[in-house]
Amino acid sequence: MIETPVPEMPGGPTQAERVDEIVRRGPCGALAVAGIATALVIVMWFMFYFIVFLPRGVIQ
Amino acid sequence: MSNPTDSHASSEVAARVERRWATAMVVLVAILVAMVVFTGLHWAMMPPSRVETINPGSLHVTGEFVETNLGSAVEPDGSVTVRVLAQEYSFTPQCLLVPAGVPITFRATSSDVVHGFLITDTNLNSMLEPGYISTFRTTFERTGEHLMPCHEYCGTGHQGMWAHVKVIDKDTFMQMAAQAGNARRLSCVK
Repeated sequence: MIETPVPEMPGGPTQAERVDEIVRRGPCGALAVAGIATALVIVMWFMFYFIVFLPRGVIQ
Repeated sequence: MSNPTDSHASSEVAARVERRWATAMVVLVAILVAMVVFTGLHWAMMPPSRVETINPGSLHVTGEFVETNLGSAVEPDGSVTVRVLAQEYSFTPQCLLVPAGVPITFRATSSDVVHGFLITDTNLNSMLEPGYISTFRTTFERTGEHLMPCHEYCGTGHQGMWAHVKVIDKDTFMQMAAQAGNARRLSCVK
């Protein structure tokens, strides 16, 4: 893992402050990736249910 | 942390997003489970739970699975019972003949190892275990032909073990059944 220290501007926000600022904006990217992945799985589940499973008929 | 208030605010954001995501996932899982429960209750569709046993050592010579009784039989109530025997590496009969639009009861078992019973383009899918009779009911809506491969690995010849299911018009089937009488069960084995 590359751990190059981020250069800090004199008088600017510290690294911890900048991390807090980023986290405060919310995990939009993670939500987008997880949301798309979940949506794909759910859409496929419903497609199998309505297009394959139901038309094939009831078994008892 | 240089600013404890800001740090608290960012952890609040993370906790809120996690809570919302967890709630959304619980709702999704609840919807899927509700659909499965609805299908099960609405169609009364569930895995066969009754256990009916048979002696696999004597089923060739006595009982309902003797060779002359395998195939399709019309019952007094107008439904059709299909008896099938699976063995390494074939089904008997090799070609099942069934009518469309008629309730059909499959009764199948295995004489040696565990086999699979699956009719393509339908939800029929069951295991055939030696010593047990698998029973399931369905109705074929349309005429046509389906493949019926064994889908439980049963030995070196497993990939060659499959049969056909031929769904024909109800009137034609009943005529054939009337002509055949009770001498031999119907199948499409040539």
